[in-house]
This record gives sequence, C-alpha cells and structure tokens, in this order.
Amino acid sequence: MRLLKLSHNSFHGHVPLLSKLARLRWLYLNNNSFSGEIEDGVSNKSYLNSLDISNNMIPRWIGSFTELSVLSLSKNQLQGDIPNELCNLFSLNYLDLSENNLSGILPYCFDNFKYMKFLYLQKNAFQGNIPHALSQLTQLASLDLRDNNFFGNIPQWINRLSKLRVLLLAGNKLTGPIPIYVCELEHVKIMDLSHNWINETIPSCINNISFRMVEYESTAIGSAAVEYDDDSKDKIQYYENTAIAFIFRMDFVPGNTFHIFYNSSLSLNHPSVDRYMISYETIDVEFRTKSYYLSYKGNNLNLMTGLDLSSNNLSGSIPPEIGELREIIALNLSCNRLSGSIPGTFSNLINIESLDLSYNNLSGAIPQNLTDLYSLAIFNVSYNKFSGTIPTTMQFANFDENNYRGNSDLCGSVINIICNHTSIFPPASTTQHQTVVDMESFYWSCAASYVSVIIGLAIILWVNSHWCRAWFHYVDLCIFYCFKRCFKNVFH
Amino acid sequence: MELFLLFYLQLLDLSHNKLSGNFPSWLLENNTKLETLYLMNNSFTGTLELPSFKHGLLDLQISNNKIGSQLQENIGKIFPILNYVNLSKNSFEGILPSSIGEMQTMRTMDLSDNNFSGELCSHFH
Repeated sequence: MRLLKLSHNSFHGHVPLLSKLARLRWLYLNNNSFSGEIEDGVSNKSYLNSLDISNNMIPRWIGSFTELSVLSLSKNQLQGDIPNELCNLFSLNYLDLSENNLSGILPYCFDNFKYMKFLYLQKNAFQGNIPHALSQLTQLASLDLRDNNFFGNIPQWINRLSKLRVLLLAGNKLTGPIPIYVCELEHVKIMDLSHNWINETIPSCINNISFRMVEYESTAIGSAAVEYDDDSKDKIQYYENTAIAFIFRMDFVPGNTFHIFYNSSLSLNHPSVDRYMISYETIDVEFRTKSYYLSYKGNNLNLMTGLDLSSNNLSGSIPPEIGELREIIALNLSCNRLSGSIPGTFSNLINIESLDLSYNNLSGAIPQNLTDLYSLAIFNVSYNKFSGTIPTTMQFANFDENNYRGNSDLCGSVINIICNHTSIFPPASTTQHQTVVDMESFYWSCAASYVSVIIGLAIILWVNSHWCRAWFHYVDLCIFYCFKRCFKNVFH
Repeated sequence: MELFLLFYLQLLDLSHNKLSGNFPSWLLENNTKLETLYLMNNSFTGTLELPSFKHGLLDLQISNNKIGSQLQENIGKIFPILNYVNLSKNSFEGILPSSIGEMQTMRTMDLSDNNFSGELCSHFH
C-alpha cells in the first residue's frame, strides 16, 4: 500500500504500525483518538513522505523517517524537550509542533533543516534565546514562534533568513530594540512582534520591507505526491477531471513551477476537488487585524499584508517612512510609548484597512488628508494626546467616539466638543448653540457674585459693631435725605 | 436495470449524478468482469453488500454518498485484488474488518470522514 488515509474517524488505541506496509508513503491518521506510542514497526518506513498525526496522540520519537518532508504534530499534549532525533529528518520542509506543551530550548541541531520552509512552533512553552541554529534555515518562508517564553533580543542574524515572508514572534519576552537587520527581510509581508518587551524606536529603514501582496504564490506544501509518483493511474485518480485543467493552467504562471499541484488557489476555486494533498496541506497563518485574530490561508494569505508592533515599550516618534508601505493592509502600533505626531506620509497608505495607534503619547492634529484612505475600516487613536479637529468626511464619517477617547484636546462633532474659533473650519451649524451656552454661564456667575457680596456684607456687619453702627447710621442718613427730597418735591 | 445484461462490462462510471436508492450491490453480483466502479458524488444509501463470490474488482470509488453500517468481515476475501478503494465521506461505522490486512495488492485506501471506530492493532501486521 502506498497511501492510507483514515483521518476524521473515531479510531482509538495504539497506532497500528504497520509492518506489512513497507512501501507506504502517505499516511494520514489525523483527527482520531489514537493514543500511546508509535510502535517500533513504523521505524522501518523510511519511504514515508508525509505523516500527519496531528490532533491525536503522544508520539515519543520520530527520528528514523529520514525522507519525511512534512511532519505535523500540532494540537497534541506533547511535553518535554524536542528530542535530538528529530534533527535526523533533514528533508523536512514543513514542521508543525504548534499548540503542545513542549518546553526547553530548541536543539542546536535544528541547523540540519536546510530545506525547511515552514516552521510552526507557536503556543508551546519553549524558552531561551531564539537559537542561532535557526540562522541556518535559509529557505524559511514562514516562521511562527508566537506565545512561547523566548527571551533576549531579536537576533541580528535574522537577515540571513532572506526568503522569509511571514515572521511571527508575538507573545514572548523579547527585549531590546528592533534590530535594523530586520529591514533586510525585504520579502516579509506579515510581521507580528506584538506583546513583547521590545523598546527604543521603530527603525526608519522599515520601508525596506515590502509588505507587498503576492499573486499566484503557492502557499501549499506536501511535497510532490504526483511529481515523484511514476504511476500515471494514481496521478489521474488523485486529480479528477475538474482539477486537471486548472493545474496545467497554473503551470504557465512564471516562477511557479514548484509545488504547483497543491496551489492553494485550487482549493478556493474548486471546493469540490477534495483529493489528497490538493486542498489538504495548505499553509495558514494567524494574524490580528481589525482587533481580532484571523486565520489566513490560500489566496487570502497571498493578499494579506500587515505589521503589528503593539504592546511593547517602543518610544520615539513614528518614522515617516512607514508611510511608504503603500500595500500594507493592517498597521498596529498601539500600547507603546510612541510620541510625536502622525506623519503626514500616512496619507500614502492607500490600501490600509486597519490603523490602530491607541494607547501611546502621540500628539498634534489628526492629519486631514487621512480622509484620502478609502479602504480604512478601523481607525483608533484613543488614549493619546491628540488635539485639533477630528476629520468627519469620507471614511471618517464611520468612526464613533470610542476611537477618540482619552484625548482631552480633540474637538469635533463626533465627540460633541465644539472647536474654538482658531480651528480652520468651525462647524457653522453649532454657532447659535455656542452663544446660548455663554449667556447661561454669564447669568449664573452674576447671581453667584451678587449672593456672595450680600452674605459677605452681612458677616462683616455682624462681626464688627463699630462698622455696624456706622453703616446703619449712613443708611439712616440716606433714608432721611431721600424722604426729605421726596417730601420737598411733593409738597412744594 | 438493463445493466443486468452487460456480462462483459468492465468499467462503470456513474459518478457526479443525483442517483439515489440503495447501493446497487447487484451490479457486482451480476457483472463478474467489472473492474472499475465509480459511484462517487451521488445519494446512494443502504449498505455496501458484497457479492457472494470472489470478485476481480480493482478500483472501487463510492465516496460522498450516504452508504452506511459496518463493512462486511469478509471484504478482503471477496475482493482479493482490489488496489484502490475510496469510501470517504459516507456513514460507515464500527470496526474495520481484519481481512483488510489481507488485501495484498492494495495501493490506496481512503476511509476518511466516516464513523469508523475501534482499534487497529491487528489489521496491518
């Protein structure tokens, strides 16, 4: 047998392996209830090309599948260190150990993985520095170390991973500045460094990174089930008629000959095609935009770009060069200590859909030309020190007061605070309302001062009897002269 | 029902239609020369009843129907030279017959997306 797929059933017990099946190359046991260890029989299966036992069980060792190119052990209860034997799998180009309880430092022998393209270690308890061994994985396209306990600086050798497209280091304890070497990762389109302790300023060279959408880039893996299979009958069976035309069409896209059979757009466009690896092992990447994490895969991933530096200790001003990232869709700089103003260059971010600058020390006015950003769906500047008038035209008509909270000097109709006369465009409709408010406070202050003068006078007279007598004497005199004059006028 | 008469029928592909009713086991019973049977993406129900004799079927693809219940224990003996079987996306349940391990020529077996259960210890040794 060459292919055995038992996924999505309710099998339990030990994994049956599989001494009769010496030629097995694709084995799918995912989404069952297997438990226990892999029996020794499996260790003879050195032809095995893909092994998916995710969502299943606790495998102790793996090391003898030296031809394995895909290994997914995600969402198990795996504990302890990664065994050094794993490094024997030097053909791996996809390794997913995410969402386990793995801990310890990554083995030094990780530098064996010369062909690794997709490395998913997120949501474990790994610790230590980001190991230097990773600097040897020069084919890496996607690195996800989120939600571990990695500490230390973002390594300077990061620039050696020059093919990186997705870099996710969020949710660790990384410190120090963002090294300028990050800027050499020019192909990166999604970068998430949020929820760390990164400080100092955002490097102004960040515009060297493309954050560019790609079209027709395969994000799928699974190595070549068909390319290497000499049996043409299998080839036709794996890919039904509907798919074949499309597969061959894909062939003509320049620079896209590798792994074309698993191109992710296939699964999007042909949901009915559900043959082994076509729609199966597509990469997906989690990224937060519009304030929640979404999982991007296939063509959606190709079209997604974003930079998330939120929840760090970044200070200084926002480099105006960020405005040159014309294809960026999501930009989150919230929860830092950034100061200065929003660079005017931000009006060049014509594809941006989500811009979050909340919880910083930013000041100055919100540039009126941000209304040119037609795609903007999320805009949050709350809890800063912004001042001036809030734009209300175009997209900005959609943003309510929650996006402006905690800025004492902002004004505009959105937050019901009237801008003073120095503002460039005072809202005409509220002028009358403004005078009414002034008169009201005037009346109140008059009444208050009148009352306080009376009370003060009474207290003085009550305290000092000499003044009291003098005062009433004076009053008597006044009354007397008044009456006298009145009588004179009346009876004269 | 005319298919009864096609004694020499080798390949039958009725896939991607809206056929319903019980799984047509009589096709196998009556067409002893049948090698390839494609019934995927229909609405067949009932059970996968096997012929009463050893059958030379090579390729059986009945995925995405509503065929259910347990696989017959002697399936490995009835189809000794089957080399491609796809039963995925049906309603099969229960344990796998141990005779599956006897299908020496099997190359590809897809049983995914069913309700199979039980252990697999003895099947592939």
